[in-house]
Amino acid sequence: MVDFSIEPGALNSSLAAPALPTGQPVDYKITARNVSVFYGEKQALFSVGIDIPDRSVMAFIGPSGCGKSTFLRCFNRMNDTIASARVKGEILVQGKNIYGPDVDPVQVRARVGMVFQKPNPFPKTIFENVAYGPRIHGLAKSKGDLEEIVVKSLQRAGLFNEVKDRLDGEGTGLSGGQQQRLCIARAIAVSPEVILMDEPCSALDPIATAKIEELIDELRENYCIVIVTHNMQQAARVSQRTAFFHLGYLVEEDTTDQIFMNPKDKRTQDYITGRFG
Amino acid sequence: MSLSALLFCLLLAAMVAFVIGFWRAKRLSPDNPRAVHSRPGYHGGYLALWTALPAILVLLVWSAVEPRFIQAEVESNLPAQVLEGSEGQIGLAMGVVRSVATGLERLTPAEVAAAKASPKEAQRLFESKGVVIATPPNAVVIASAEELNNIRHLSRLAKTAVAAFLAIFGFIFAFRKLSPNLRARNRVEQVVILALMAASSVAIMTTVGIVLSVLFESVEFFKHVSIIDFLTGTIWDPRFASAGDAGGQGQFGLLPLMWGTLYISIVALVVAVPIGLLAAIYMSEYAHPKVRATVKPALEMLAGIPTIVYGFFAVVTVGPFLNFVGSEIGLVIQPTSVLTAGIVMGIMIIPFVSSLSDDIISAIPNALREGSYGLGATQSETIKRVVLPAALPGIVGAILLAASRAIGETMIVVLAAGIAANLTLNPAESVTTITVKIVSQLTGDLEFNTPQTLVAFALGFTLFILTLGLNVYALYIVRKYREQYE
Repeated sequence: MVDFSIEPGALNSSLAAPALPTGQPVDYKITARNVSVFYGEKQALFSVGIDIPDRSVMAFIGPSGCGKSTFLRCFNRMNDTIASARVKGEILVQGKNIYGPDVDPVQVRARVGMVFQKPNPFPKTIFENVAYGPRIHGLAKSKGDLEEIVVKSLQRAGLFNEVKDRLDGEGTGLSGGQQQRLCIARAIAVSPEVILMDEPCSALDPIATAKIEELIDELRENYCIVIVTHNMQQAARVSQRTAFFHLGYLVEEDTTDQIFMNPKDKRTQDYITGRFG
Repeated sequence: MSLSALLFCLLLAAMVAFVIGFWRAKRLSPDNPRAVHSRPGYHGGYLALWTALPAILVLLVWSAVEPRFIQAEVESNLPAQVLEGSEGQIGLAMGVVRSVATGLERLTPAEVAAAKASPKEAQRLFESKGVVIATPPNAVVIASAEELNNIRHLSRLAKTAVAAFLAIFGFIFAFRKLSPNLRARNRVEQVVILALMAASSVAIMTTVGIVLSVLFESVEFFKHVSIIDFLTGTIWDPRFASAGDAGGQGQFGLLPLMWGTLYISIVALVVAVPIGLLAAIYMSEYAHPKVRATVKPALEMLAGIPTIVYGFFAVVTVGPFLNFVGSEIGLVIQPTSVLTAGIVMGIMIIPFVSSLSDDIISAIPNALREGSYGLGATQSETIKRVVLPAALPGIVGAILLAASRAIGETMIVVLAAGIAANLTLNPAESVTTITVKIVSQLTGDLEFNTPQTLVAFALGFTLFILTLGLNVYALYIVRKYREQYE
């Protein structure tokens, strides 16, 4: 899957991939170079490169179909579950290429957690939802350990106080916002290094959204978070850095303040001022 | 006119009325067609319905009650000595009158006079016209027959007149109502909805009718044999009583049949559930869509094989094969046995389990699978821990439907299970089932007044209760599960 050849689209990208710093200390949690994604014949992403620092929030913004979700799903090899999808290029998580020949996507996904657009709790109890990951990875030595992991994860996701009396209730019985926090707790429970969030608030009301945003801000202290969002205020509120995608190209990536106050590219400016998108 | 001719004329009239209504509606507001509430077709339909429907309804009701009135009228004029006889005798006399009436219709006036003169001559004349009568009809019978014919003739005339009146009156009434404001569409659609309701209630009514008829015959059976003996008896020995053999009633214990039915169904499920479920998992989770598109219909074709063919397969292939295998390893497996019937029936219900389970597994939202993959679960972990538990209620429903299918299955067990009503645990022995016994109790030329034949209805009713219960429960589970994800 590794392909160092430069795709034609790479020259269009504002981040024409710099040489990969091999052997040097890793400054970034995630480093992507020359990532292209194809769905069958159709190319959805054109030679994108990006560096994402640890313990911060990176927001991906852009109009629908711009490739931001596709790119996000490269970080935990979720695109592998789509039969027609092909990924070219290199993505390093903590210095290790997750598209290397000896890498099992299943192991990648244990290190890189994901929260989806629509809350998708399993039809199991709240406890079992959170315990699912630790169980399959054998993270808990004993029942006590497992309970500790579950409680801690729920606490970190800011859900514990709301559900502590009904851990054996159905996860699907919670409200939408609670379900999404349950999914975050579920992702945290396997102690990932990175948490990917694919429009985590798009199915939620403003109050639940505010809670999730608050939670993202807290989680930032311990995790590298990448969030895809359609909501530019949200990107401005929760992220430190922002990347703008358009038609499968990464147009511009900078600090969030820079992107929103002083975008370099005309397309970025048009998008954030609402002229298209 | 006869009923069919009348109906034909009414339909013709309705067609004409439709055309007139259509034409008339177009001229209601030629400049601004939108000012007319309903489209021309609905005006035509409205006129056609008013023309034909009342007349047809009256005709149908009339024809349904007519024979009874005529019969009562003719019967009351029969001679006193016939009326004093039993119900059967009156019926017999009426039968003769009806035959004679039919015969009289076919005679010329001269022949009628000859028939009235001599009963023997009448019999000969009728026979020459294709109406065979056992005894030469006397004058009284011929008089009654003539009365019958007269009333029938009168009734037919009246019917025609009433139908014509209703059709004309309905047409005029409706035609005068045609106006731009007439809600013709709503009226016509009301009638259409009624027709749709009638169509859908036919199936339900038929079911209710069948259940009731089986129920009444069962009640008849339980007058001969106590319901407790039937439900708890362990010996099945109906003993077809030969004529004059008093007291030879036999024993009607349901349990051996029930056990045979359930035992074979259990063996069938043991065969079908693992195979069907694994096939479903392969098709929905692993198979390439193209493979699934071929394999699934192929599996479903198993359901299209007539069950009698499965029966051959059981008797000709599976039975002898099991018998051979048994003899090789030192077991006696009878050619017709629980195993033979159960295995073949299991093969038969595999598509029910696999196809339904496949639908149910495929309906599990992909978001759940992605959620599991996102936590680093493998595909098999995802299937075992997320997909199957989520699909379980639906799968149980599918299995119950397959089970009820197995319980009601007849042809395979008739050929492959045997006819001995054994109460045995040994799957190598032959047993018999409820369906087999229904077949054997009702085969032949029988009268439905002895416990030996009536028991078939009691058995059928038991079977019906059993499968109905299973079906209702299975559908309840499947529906409950569906609501969860839709």
